[in-house]
Amino acid sequence: MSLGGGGGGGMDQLQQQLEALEQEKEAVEAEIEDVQGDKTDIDEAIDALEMLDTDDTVQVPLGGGAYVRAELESIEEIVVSIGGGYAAERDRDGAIDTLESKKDTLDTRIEELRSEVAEIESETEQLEQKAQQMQQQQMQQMMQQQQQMEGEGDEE
Amino acid sequence: MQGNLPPEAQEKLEELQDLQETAQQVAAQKQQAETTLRESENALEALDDAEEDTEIYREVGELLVKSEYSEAYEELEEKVDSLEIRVDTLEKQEERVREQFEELQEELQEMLQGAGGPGGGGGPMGPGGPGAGGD
Repeated sequence: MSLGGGGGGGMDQLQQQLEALEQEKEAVEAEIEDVQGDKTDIDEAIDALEMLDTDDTVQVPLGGGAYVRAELESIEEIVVSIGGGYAAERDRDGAIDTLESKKDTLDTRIEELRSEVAEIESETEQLEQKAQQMQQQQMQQMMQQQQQMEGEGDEE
Repeated sequence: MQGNLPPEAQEKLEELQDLQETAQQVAAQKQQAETTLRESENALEALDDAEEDTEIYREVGELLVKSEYSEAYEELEEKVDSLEIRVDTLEKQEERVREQFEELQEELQEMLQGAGGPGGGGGPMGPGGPGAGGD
């Protein structure tokens, strides 16, 4: 926020804004990573659904690195979250479709977040240019003052 | 810089900063509501595609509790309705905050110019701020 001229205060404020933008960018980038992690989980679920069959023997994780053996009663009865706090039973293909459409939603979210990052970056660039201009102005003022002082010294 | 401002301008500047914070909070709430709305709409679509005798479960933490298709459909419809109202309300609130911000910004610039202070230059960052809008 720049309401003043070229004082050091204005520079401080620009610096604060730049830091805030940097933090914001980091937060958005962290969210992108989270969403990409969710996408990876979905990919793993799809792989499992494509690989498994009814009557297959699997080891079900209990946590802590412990597993219990189980036999798949039916690969055509998959319960998959549909969002909004509900889950529905689907056959294998239906479950895969649901998961694929979740991935599409996540892709859209990633695009939104990436454009947010781009927006932050362009704002950062503008502020950096402003900071540079401010610095140049300060330098010029200082040089002018110095020249003035030297001129006055010569007159004396 | 703020230390050099007249007290009245200082006060307005603080108000502006508060408004900016409010705008960011409202934008975040709106984004959250929009995301939940989209999710609930998708869930309704998924139910539309499913047969009415499909086994439906309600997610309670890690647990899945058996529910009914009609119950889930009704609840999701209500959820979508109330979320649409919430998004609408937040949009209006966002607009109000933006108007207030612009008015205040103008007043502050007039005040500074009137006092012979430094010219406005690039005004304060908009109330939405970067990434606040999200859409």
